[in-house]
Amino acid sequence: MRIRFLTALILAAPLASLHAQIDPATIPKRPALPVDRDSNSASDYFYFGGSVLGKTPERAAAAFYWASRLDPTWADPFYGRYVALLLAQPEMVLTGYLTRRPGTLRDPIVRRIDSLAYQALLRNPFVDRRFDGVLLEEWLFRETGGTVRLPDLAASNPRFAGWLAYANGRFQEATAFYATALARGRKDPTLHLQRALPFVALGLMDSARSAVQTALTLLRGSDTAQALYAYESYPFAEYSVGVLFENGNQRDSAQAAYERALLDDLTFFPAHRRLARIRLAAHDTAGAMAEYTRAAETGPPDAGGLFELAVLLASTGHTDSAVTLLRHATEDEPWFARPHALLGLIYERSGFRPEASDQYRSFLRLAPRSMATEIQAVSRRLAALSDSSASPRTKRLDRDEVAPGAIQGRPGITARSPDPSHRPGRLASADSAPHLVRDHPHANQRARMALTLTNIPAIMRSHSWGNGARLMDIWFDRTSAVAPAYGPPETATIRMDTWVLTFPRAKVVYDQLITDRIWANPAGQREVGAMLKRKSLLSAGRTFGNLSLPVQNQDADYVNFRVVSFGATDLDDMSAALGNFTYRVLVAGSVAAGPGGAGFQVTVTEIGVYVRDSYDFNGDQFLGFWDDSDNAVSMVNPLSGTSVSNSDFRAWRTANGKGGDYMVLSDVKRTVLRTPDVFVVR
Amino acid sequence: MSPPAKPSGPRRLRFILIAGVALLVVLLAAWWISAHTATEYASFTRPDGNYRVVVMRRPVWPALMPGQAGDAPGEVRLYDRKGKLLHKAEIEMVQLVDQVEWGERSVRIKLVAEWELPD
Repeated sequence: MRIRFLTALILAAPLASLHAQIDPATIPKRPALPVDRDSNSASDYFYFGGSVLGKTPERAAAAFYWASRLDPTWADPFYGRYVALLLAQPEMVLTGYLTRRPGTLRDPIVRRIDSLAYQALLRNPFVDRRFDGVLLEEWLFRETGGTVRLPDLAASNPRFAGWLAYANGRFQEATAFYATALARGRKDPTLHLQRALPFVALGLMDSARSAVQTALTLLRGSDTAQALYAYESYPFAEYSVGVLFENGNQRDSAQAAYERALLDDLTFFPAHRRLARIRLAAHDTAGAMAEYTRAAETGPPDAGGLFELAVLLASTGHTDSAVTLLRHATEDEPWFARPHALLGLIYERSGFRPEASDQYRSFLRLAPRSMATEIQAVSRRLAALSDSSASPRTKRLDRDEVAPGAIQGRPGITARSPDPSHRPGRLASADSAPHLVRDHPHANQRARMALTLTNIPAIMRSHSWGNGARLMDIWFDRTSAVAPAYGPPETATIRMDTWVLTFPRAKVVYDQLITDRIWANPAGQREVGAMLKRKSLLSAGRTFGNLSLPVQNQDADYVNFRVVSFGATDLDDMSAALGNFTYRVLVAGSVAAGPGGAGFQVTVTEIGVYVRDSYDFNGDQFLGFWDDSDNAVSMVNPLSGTSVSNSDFRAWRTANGKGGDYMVLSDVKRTVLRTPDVFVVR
Repeated sequence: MSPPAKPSGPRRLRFILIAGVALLVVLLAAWWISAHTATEYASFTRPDGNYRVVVMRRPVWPALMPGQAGDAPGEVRLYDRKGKLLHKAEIEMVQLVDQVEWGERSVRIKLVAEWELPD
């Protein structure tokens, strides 16, 4: 009986309840490592923490803390510290946490500890959780005085046996136990999520993905309005599926999963970060930067994320912005070695030799011995700087030169503790961020650049107009095409729920067209009839409309539209990307014989709305004043930069044989009508 | 130093009138330039070449963002083979004209206009 009670307690107490806010933690003293260990190495601190976790959890927590400082991109130290800090709590607090006692869960210290697990899971949803075994074993010992051990509990419960096998590293056994448990209760999403962990440890990614997707299906089908734990939420489960697809190099599927996660929660910033990596792997630099920017806007600051973005920026020639981010990264996490090397390299390439030397020295001071190759390279550069008298120069950096392997890095990179003084939006803002040319003491060594047309996307990015920049990059990259003989439509950039409808002026028009039911007004009814006739669907018993088809395959079937306009004060990403645009409406439903045999009765049961906008440079049109030396842009002020017009882009197209006009199409936002619209078409 | 005296009475009225007329002239000039500097944005010709729908685009003042030429207002016109203007209609955005359906005796521009063609 006692065993059953304890088992129930344990299984009812998932170890990572995940809704807490993160407070600044007390900085523990750096523990002394064995003499042969490297005090600059995150790995050495991590493994040391693991070795002392059971005996001295306080020391383990300190070791994990310093591992997370030395490499903020690594998930495991966060999870280790979570477990260690729980073990370091008084017995009553630990019991209260594991049995989910409300008073304990409200305790600020407990919440701070709890948040560490979430930080770990955001970095890597499949972070190794075997430290849970140490935690529960210790707790059980405290509770029972050693009279009950974990294997005793496992004997009567295959689910717990599976968990224990996983905690002990017997992954194959774990999957077998979970299979037995699932045979008894297949509708438990948490069980499927737990089963994914040993699959991942065994490298069986397909099986893991299947387990998570099953859990996701159960979650979506359940009546529970809100998940009990964040890792049981839709976005987190979709995110986990995406990570598994990504690890299996199935980037398209991963991208789709991340986008679904964002559909459920626009602010789920790890999905933005992962999407950025996918876009980067597909050489979509503009899209990657847009996603990183969104992550920064919705998530807490993160030195690892800043470093990744800086690598990306530097490798594409945006060194000024890269410097800005690297400065932030080194301020956010002064113990993180890698940003210093890149910062030094950019300074050196830009001719700022004393600053480059300082950064190189910082890197050499912080870098672990495991980075021997980088240490050698930086040492050589530092020596060369001391010896040579090279003149200042700028140069676009090759990605490999910037930081070998830095972009792919360690899987599962996300956040660190939020700090109100470091809010999103600063990433690419020229107004708020220090700028190499403007702010640097040696700025006058560099000549002011004339506007280069292809730098306009970078100017847009500096104003956080990520989609505007991406659409222009796409135009520059495409082979020549002139509207209305467009190239293939662009369907991957604009998203209804996660972007379009976040702009009030777009939301207002969308809401109004839904309120007005414009698919069933006289013009809409007329177009529905015309569409059905054209497609030979106007006969009793036919159904029409498949809104799940790719939007470009449905574009010709729209039945009504509404225009969204931007005003003079709407200078934002939407105006940069789309300006004015149209919502088009699609319909799905069925056809029956009309009353009295007159005409046909059409029933519209579902509608879809999407954005459609032409991206072209036809006709004479002034396009504002742009300056890529300070990222200034103005529609009216000639002192802001160089005048640009449509003819400049057409001339560029003629000169380069590239520059393709295209149609921008968003995804289709579907709505099943609670009350179908019924009307007669004759 | 005292501020300049405000114009008063008839002088003030004359000042307002002159300023108003000047503003009106500027607005009329802007309208005229806008209306008479329309350029062809797109065209759709019936397969037999007898009729042509032409979309004329007027520049937007003061400026648009790059790539948004299709956002400008304009006019859609129907011409016959000899270049005679048969019909025209104002459009909110030139990109709205994208589906032109030619019939034997009519042309239909989806959700924009439907015109009879002459015998």
